[in-house]
Amino acid sequence: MGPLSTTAFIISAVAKVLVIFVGWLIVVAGVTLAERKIAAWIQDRSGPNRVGPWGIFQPIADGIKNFAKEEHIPGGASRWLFFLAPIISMFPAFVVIAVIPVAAPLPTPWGLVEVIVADLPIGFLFVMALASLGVYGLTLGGWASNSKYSFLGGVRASAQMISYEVALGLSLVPIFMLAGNVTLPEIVRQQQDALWYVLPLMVGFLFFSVSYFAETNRGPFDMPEAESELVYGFHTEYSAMRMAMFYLAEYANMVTASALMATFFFGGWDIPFWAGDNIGVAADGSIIGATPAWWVTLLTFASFAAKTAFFILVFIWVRWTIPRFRYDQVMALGWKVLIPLLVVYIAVLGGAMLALEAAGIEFGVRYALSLAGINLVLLLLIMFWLDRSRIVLGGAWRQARPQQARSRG
Amino acid sequence: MLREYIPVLMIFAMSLGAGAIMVIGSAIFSNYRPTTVKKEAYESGMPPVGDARERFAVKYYIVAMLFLLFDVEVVFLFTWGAVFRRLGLFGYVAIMIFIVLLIAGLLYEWRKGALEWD
Amino acid sequence: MPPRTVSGKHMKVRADAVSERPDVADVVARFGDAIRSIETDAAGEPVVNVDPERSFEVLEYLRDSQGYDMLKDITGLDLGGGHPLQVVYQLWSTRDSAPLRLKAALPHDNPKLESAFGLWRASDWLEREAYDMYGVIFEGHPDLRRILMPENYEEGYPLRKDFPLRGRFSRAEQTRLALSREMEDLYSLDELAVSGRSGSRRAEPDEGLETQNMILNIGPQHPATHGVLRLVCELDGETIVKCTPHIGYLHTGFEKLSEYRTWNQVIPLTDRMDYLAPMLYNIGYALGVEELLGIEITPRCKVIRVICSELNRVLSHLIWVGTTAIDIGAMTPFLYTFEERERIYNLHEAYAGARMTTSVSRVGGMMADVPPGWLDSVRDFVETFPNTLDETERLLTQNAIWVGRTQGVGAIGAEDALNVGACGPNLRASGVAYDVRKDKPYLDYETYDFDVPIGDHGDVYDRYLVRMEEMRQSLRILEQALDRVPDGPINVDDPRVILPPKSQVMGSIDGMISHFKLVMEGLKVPAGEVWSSIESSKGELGFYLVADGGPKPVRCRFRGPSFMNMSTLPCLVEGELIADLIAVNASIDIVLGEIDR
Repeated sequence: MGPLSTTAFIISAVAKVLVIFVGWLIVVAGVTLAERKIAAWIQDRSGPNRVGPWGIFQPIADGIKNFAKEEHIPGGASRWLFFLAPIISMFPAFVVIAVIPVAAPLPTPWGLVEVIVADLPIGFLFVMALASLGVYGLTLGGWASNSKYSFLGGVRASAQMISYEVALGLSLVPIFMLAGNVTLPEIVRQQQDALWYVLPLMVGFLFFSVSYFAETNRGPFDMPEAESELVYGFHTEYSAMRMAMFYLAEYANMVTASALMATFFFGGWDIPFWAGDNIGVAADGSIIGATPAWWVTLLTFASFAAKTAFFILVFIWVRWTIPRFRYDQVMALGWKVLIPLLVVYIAVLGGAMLALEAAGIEFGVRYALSLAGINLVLLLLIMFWLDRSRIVLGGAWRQARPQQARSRG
Repeated sequence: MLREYIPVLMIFAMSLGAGAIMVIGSAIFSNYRPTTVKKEAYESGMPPVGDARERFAVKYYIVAMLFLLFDVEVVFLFTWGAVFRRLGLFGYVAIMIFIVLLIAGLLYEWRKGALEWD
Repeated sequence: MPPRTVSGKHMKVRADAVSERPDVADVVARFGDAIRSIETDAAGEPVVNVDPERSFEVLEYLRDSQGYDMLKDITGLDLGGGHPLQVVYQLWSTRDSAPLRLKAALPHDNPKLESAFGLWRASDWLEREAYDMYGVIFEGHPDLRRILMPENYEEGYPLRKDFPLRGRFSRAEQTRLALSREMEDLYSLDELAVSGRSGSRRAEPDEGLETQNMILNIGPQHPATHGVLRLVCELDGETIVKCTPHIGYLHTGFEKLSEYRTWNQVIPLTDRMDYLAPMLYNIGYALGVEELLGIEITPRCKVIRVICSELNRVLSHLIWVGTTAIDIGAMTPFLYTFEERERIYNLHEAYAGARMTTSVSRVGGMMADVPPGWLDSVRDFVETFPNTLDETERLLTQNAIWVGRTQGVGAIGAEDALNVGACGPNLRASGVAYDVRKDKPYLDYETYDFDVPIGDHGDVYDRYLVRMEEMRQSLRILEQALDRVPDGPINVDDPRVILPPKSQVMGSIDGMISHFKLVMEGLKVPAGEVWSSIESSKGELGFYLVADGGPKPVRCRFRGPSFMNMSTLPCLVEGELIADLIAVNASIDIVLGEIDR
């Protein structure tokens, strides 16, 4: 099977865009429900259970409600920016999915169709570029509202998100180094050949996930919102659907982050210990490895979905378990911990890879396992030698005394 | 292959379209009845005093400037990372010099207190 | 209804007995004619009447040389009927565990007194309240403004006896005034100047490169102010330059209302102050009146009251842990603690019929004996509750973010904490081992075996640890109390204070008359005064009660711990970040119903 003809390509593209985009919307809506349900389980509550069985129609009810609510614009607001901000913040969150491969290639009578909206040669940079656009929506929304809480939330959002963007970018460099490539499908295939990158790049994964947590403004990093401090931060003045759009953006970002974690570090759609999905496409369009089949595509999609769902669960789980950082701590974590450590990590990893190559070890399982060993050592060093609180928390850490009661009288 | 960008444009259009539909649809379905008090900016139920857009503390802008520096660094590292295994030792040493220079800059900022918040 | 007045002396003069106390004798010897008289109150505590001109000197001497380092209360007292206005200082010596009350008599017109602000920062709000309510002008006070009443209040001084219960102005006029507040009434001049509305502090936009400080209202409608508290913050970026609490949004005039109610009718007012620990307030008030009456309650009542008190301490600390965790960003512990709170509320309901406004105590006993099986339910709670406590601690105590957010935040040392007037767990977190249950035991607390947890650093983390440990200690007390609940009557057998049983009311003329008199007039409390206090969940809860022999109090002063703790907030948060302000504000455990009263 050769490459698709232009007509077939256009048709497949339309189909893929429609299916993936609509599917994505449904997933994002589902995640809003999942968050409420999982939060309820964590907190011994019932969660939404009125609209349909287990509340599954809750997102629809929310949507209808948000459409019908009164839309409010504060008096001193900059009207156009105020309108634009939610769209700007939603746009990148929904576009990033374009470069994520969600399943093994699907064989069709007209050729092999990659199950990805757009297999861009710059896939990675596309993700980075769009992820950094999200900050505009937040900052503009905060600034346009002409309210002090919104303003504070907006500046917090901009400072936090750009700080973590550096860390996020740096945490992806090790993947470049290992994969020697910037397209996501290629990274998935590389992981099929060797090991999931989570092992050789354990530390990278840790930093990547922390940075992405901060980048999505969720969990312990919800500084721009921080409802106990800034009421609702940058979207204090927003109401009705415009407010819901910020939420949609947040959840879409969360799903994107989960999908990216699965793709970069957990083999994407790869099914572990099974060669049946190791489908590769050579430069001339011929197929290398296993034979593609529709059921393989489905299975790999299920694998991808399961991994993504797991990370979504982690996102929700973390948010409802631990307290919020303070703003200066977030910035300290970004600038004083993640960025220096990542740079050092890149240096160590580069050295290790050069050494491995000098030792004549080919890229493959052994290579990856050796790197995994090095990573494990680094991880332990970071966890135990670099005191987990000394830098971020300003050296305040002291252990709780088990018996601090003093008897009197 | 430039044709790969066609679906990207399509998804751009769909995202913007979805956003526009939400904003416009919401504007159609909701009825906005402003009053003087409703139009006041929210400040915990008090009439706000002073402007929200005044000359705000400069710390945030320092972070923005730092970001510019280090984001450029990251972009360099991207390109280097992609060809790292082909460049080998030479590229590694070169980029290390670059990194050391930047880290020195970061440490300088750190010592100068640009990363402190209070 | 005309205000009632007190005629004649309302206190026994027993100067000989009191002057045996060396510190009092010393003061008399030293200040001679500045001491006008020495009396004792109903509880036998010394009351020193001092010349208002020299009150500051006496206070200074007492603080510096006699160890009276704790200023518990400053309040006004107007007995009406030509008696002078009085300012009452309630002092406590942590060194000798001894109380002392100082009174300074002032004329009604233009009453002036030197401010004690230089001695105790705690006097800041107390003096403002005395000024607000009685019009006493404290000279040297840095910021003598109205505190509970609005800034543009023009009707006078509400707690003076010549002030009618409903105010001087008509309802329409009051409403008009309330709706016509200017910016100058809502913000202080300083705040307006910072924000550039007036004055010269603000740099003009085109001059230089200076940044401007921002005035931000946190509250009254804010998710983290625990009621209708308003904090006006001057911010430099996110750093707090100055934080000014504005209170009074929930002012209900409980102290004024109490003067128009019979002694027992005041009880429903008390639980509306601290609705988070209502029974503690009911019981504290009843204890005060009983001290004034000089009656001893039954052994069963004492133990039941201890059980109610400790249950409510747990109840209040639980909401503290939950809301503080929310304010610091952890939502889950809140729901865990609320589930336990529901169980205590169910116990409330089973006993009092109400979940929040329990009004469970009566002078001389309780509203009723506990229902059958109730004590078993309490025991069940005591046995299962530690699981939740452990679970909550697992989520917080060792959590790195929690530790980072709380340790070193809002820290205050022992001496400063005493000076600014911190009380209860906040004071103990700073290392001052003051607990009314140990230092001035009531309800036989001295016979229970329990520890008073004490912190070292006085920061949010220590306040958290202290409260967590206090809950465990409360459980210890509850266990002991449940083991010793004696049989017998719950109420005292005294026809002067307790309604006779129905059989007597119907069967005997004596019973009927005493029933009639108690219902129609209310119980009569002999003339006298008392400053009685209990350890509430939030700190020392004091009741300064003055009686004239009639069925209604002449003065009901509720010295609430939240009020005192709240006044410490500005000292704790200066220079910290907004997030710390929220954490500290949560950590000092306030309840606005009691601050605003």
